[in-house]
Amino acid sequence: MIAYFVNGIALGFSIGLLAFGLALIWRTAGMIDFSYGCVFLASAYAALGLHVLLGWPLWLAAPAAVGVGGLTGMGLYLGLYRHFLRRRAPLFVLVLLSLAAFTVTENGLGAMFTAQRFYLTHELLPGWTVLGVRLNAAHFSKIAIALVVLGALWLFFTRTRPGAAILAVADNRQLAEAVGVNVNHAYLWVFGIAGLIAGAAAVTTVIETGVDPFVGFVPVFLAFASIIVGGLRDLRGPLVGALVLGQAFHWAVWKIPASWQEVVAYTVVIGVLMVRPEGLFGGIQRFQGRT
Amino acid sequence: MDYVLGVLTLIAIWVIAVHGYMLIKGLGGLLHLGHAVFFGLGAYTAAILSREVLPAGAYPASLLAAALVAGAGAVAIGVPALRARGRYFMLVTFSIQLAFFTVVSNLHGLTGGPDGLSRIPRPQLGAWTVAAPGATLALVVGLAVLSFLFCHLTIRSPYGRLVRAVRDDEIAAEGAGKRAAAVKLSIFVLGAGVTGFAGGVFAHYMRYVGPTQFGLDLVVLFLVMLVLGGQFNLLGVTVGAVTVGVMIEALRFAPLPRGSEAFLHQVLFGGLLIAILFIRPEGLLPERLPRHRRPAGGGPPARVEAVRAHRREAPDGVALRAEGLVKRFGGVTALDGCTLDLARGRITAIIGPNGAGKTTVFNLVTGFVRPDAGRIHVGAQELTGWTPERIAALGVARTFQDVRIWPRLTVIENVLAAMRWRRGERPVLGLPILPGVRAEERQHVERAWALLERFGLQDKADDPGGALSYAQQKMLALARLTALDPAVMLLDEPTAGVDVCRLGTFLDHIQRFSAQQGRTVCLIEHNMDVVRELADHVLFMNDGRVVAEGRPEEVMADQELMAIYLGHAPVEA
Amino acid sequence: MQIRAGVRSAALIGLILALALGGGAAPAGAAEPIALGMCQSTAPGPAKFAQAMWKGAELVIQDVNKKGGIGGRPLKLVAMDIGKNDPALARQSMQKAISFDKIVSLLCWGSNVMLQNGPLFDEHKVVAFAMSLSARVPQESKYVQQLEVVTTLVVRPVAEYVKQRLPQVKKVAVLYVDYEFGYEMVKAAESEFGRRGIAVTAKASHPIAPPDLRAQLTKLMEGKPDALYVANIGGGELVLAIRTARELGFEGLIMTHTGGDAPEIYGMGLTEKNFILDAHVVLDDAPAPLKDLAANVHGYASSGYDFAWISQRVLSALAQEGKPLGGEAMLAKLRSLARVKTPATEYQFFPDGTTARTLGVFDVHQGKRRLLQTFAPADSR
Repeated sequence: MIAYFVNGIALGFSIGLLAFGLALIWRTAGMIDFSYGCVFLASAYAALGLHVLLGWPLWLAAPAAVGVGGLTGMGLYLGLYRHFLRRRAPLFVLVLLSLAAFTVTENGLGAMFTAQRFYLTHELLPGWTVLGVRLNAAHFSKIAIALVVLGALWLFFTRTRPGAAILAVADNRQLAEAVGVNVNHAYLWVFGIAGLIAGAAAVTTVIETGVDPFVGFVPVFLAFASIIVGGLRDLRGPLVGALVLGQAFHWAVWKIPASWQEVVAYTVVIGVLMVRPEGLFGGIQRFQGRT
Repeated sequence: MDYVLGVLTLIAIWVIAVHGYMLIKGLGGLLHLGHAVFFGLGAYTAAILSREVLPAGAYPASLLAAALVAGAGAVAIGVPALRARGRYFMLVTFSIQLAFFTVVSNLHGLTGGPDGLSRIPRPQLGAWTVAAPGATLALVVGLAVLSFLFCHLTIRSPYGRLVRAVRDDEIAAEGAGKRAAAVKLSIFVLGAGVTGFAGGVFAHYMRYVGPTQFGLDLVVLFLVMLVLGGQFNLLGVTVGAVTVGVMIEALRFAPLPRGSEAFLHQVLFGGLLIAILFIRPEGLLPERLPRHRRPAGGGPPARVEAVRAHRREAPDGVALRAEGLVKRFGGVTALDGCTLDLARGRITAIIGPNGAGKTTVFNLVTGFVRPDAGRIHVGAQELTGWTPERIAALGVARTFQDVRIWPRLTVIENVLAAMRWRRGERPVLGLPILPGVRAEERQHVERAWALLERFGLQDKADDPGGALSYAQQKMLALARLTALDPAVMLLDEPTAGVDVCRLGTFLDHIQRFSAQQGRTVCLIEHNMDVVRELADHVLFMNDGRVVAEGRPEEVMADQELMAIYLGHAPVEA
Repeated sequence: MQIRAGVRSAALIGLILALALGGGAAPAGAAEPIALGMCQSTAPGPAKFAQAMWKGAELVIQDVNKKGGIGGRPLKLVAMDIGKNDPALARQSMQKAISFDKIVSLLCWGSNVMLQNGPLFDEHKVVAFAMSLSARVPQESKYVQQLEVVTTLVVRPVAEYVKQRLPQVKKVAVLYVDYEFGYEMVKAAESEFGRRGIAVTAKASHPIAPPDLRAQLTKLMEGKPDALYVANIGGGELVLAIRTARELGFEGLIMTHTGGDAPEIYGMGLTEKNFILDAHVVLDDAPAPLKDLAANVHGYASSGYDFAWISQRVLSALAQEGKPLGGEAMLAKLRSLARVKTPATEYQFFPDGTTARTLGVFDVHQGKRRLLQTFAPADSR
């Protein structure tokens, strides 16, 4: 039984890391970025290419792939979203754009590299036993990176100028613009940082599961789900939401047939949406104020 | 040949489904990402019923059931989800869309699990089985035409107008006595029903349903059709559906590298969507606003309004009483035990410095904000805690500081939508082909024209509200309020930003309205000339309560009050 | 604006119709190609082996066309996009391939795809070779002939091998994909192992793209099974399952089916110990390019090859006898031939649509699969 708990925590951190980046974009640009999966995939394939094709050692290929994630995130902003954000396009348009971008990327990779799943390593990753359950290096790195990111982002937003600028834009974009904040730079920072986070999550995930065009969808969806569950008030919300989901996924299998695993997770999500739509910790705006 | 007929049939089915989507998104403005769920609900219903329950030849019953179940699904989703709007609603529908596959796959007994249900009977009307591809196409195209007619009539009905008003500005709609939540739910259900109907047709055509058919890919397909064609135009989405359907088939003939075809189809698709959004996000066909003809003869308005001389005699009773209203926002106390009476038949003005709580009083009295303490009565009826539309329906209505006309309704539609309708504003039952509705529409249009003429807006009747100048919009807001004909009219800074030429018209209208029997007017004003001209009684508010009241001359002669208001002693005129 | 848009769409439709109708007429003088259809898929599992099968089939097509085709007519391969195993999309693609390209036989997979389009095959008399494993598929349509064995037949060789060579295995746990294929495999496992005195003590399912498999494997290992049978689709989650199982401390035997016949499985160091699967046997004297494909892309490449090879074999026989080169005649001929030996392997086609073919039980040695025992079609039945 402890095993379910420990494994659930590991899964939770895995989802939670990705959720940070998604939450960042959501809070700042106000958009639900379905194309976050594109960044995930870019990093994944970059890691594959650098390590397997070019033969770089893992300790070099991994950070480089994370960097690729950051660049991809910024590229998506510059090439796609900036045009629409400047014109204050409605949410519907932004969401459609991100959906379309994801479709194009997922299938484009399939056309270019075939749907075959490639693996970065064939060996078992080194690992350590926690409470009787063996977790491997990928799990530990995700936990470590998630905590580091949490702390680093907090410092970034409270202590640095670009961070303050981003908070201003997130709060009231018009006002920020009027006061002279460079909104374009703020967005670049946001998409860049979120991209790095996605890259880190991607590399630590695909080292276990392998890389194919379809690995981007489920992690991103689970990240959304954790934001919905945990709320957006601050960055702890998505992490807690992720941990809750991780537990739900694992405990679901304990007593009921495993085929209902996903249904349990969805139920948690939809349940939270119905009962407490601002998330367990609040922060997701319910509706526009009245008058 | 069979292949082409089959393609056209499938396209016709999609057309119907996209009609439903247009009702929800284009007409209703609801950001809905789970459209394939309704399509799937309808398809599965038709499949299950026609295989197990229905006798042969019951094709129409099967389709009807499909529509009903999809509508019921919309109720189940909509009631909790529509409490909020925008991205939250989108997320709920998206999550349900993704969950649909899992849930359906797990209900083996009912839905056949992942393998789905096969051997669904062909469409059968009585003794005639529709099997030949040509006959099937004719049948489905006929149904598509029916769907188009139904949706078109719905859009052009008073109900359709109401849905658009709620879409444009929900709060203004509530201020006009319309139950916005119910309206949104109704269009959601209606759109779902149409799509469920399409799903039923799909099931009988494909003769197989399975969970993989109703996933995110289908939603993206529908979205592309919607956006390409122009989501605010019914003909547009029809054209969009046909164009995209043809494009998909055309791609099959394109010389793409083998082995990657399936992927490249999706890439081209997604690329197409991005291109549309860049180049022409409003789609092929823009929204077409209806034109209303001036009724023949320009006859007298349906009701003759008695215009009596403006009098300042003794009022007959209290129209509205607010006692001890308290409201705090965070740490700020906006109202601190405010008590006021509005006497029937009088024009009362509320004046005072900014932050005194004037607009907050209006918000509390009309139900847009709940008081922390205090009570509000109209006659013997207590209104405290009522929702805005209930209060408006009772006869207490207001204008807004930020005007809030419906920008994408025409000027005359703004007035029409605010009126009270007996039949026209019901979904399905309010279709303009029904005789009762036509008569009602005619009457209301006559009245609306008369109002527009009175307010000098008749030349702009068919222009969208958003195209008017600020002052004209304020005029329209006043006209709209007049159309609603409330017993108590609350005007929030009605003359702010209005140029001198039009000012006179405004004052005239307010006076005329007040002169009618039993009407009460209250306005928040900063323009002392207007107050002097109009008001029978003045309430001076400061720091969240009424600190003085009396006739305008008295209040404005009080040096102390004026000092509070102006921040210094008044300069002698 | 509206009129222009309407005219544009009408023109487009007109163009398509013209193409469709005009394409029906063959250019005078040119030999009309004989078309074989093959599905293309973007679903995560099948996408990989779909491409392998296509390449395998192309080897045969090229060969035959070099030798002048069949009765002077070249062979042509037609792609049919079925998306993520979407039956409706498949219907459209197949309808186009049937009406337009006039395919005489096709190769496809996905139980739901095959089930839904059964009436189509029957109506247009196209021989549909199925790579799906569901036993329902050949039952529901007359023109379906399995190319891949159905679930019971795929589990049988492994069960038999374990019974004969690994008697210490008494308890088996099954990890299966939450899909019709998975359910059938569980039933097949229970039946085949059960008949041989080996109990299936636990089973757990996973969704098609699981975030991880730790929960399921933890649950399965609670009963301390001797062996684990992995019934996933297309080999996708197999690597994850093996790694996770070993990480969580499972030391016993891991078994799987033909979907795991892929180079990445053989390249894993972990599979060199305590791992067996059954897979298609490619005969030693099969042409080198095919062996290459099967070893380096996916074992299913040989099935694509066989599909094309069998089709051209039957068509050649018909051409020699002067019979029409259409699906109806093909099916009759195929069933009358019954036993067919391709350069890659051997098949036995039964009149009810099921098939037995040579299967082998393999383990992994030095990065390659190693044949442990062969099961000829007769043994399989």
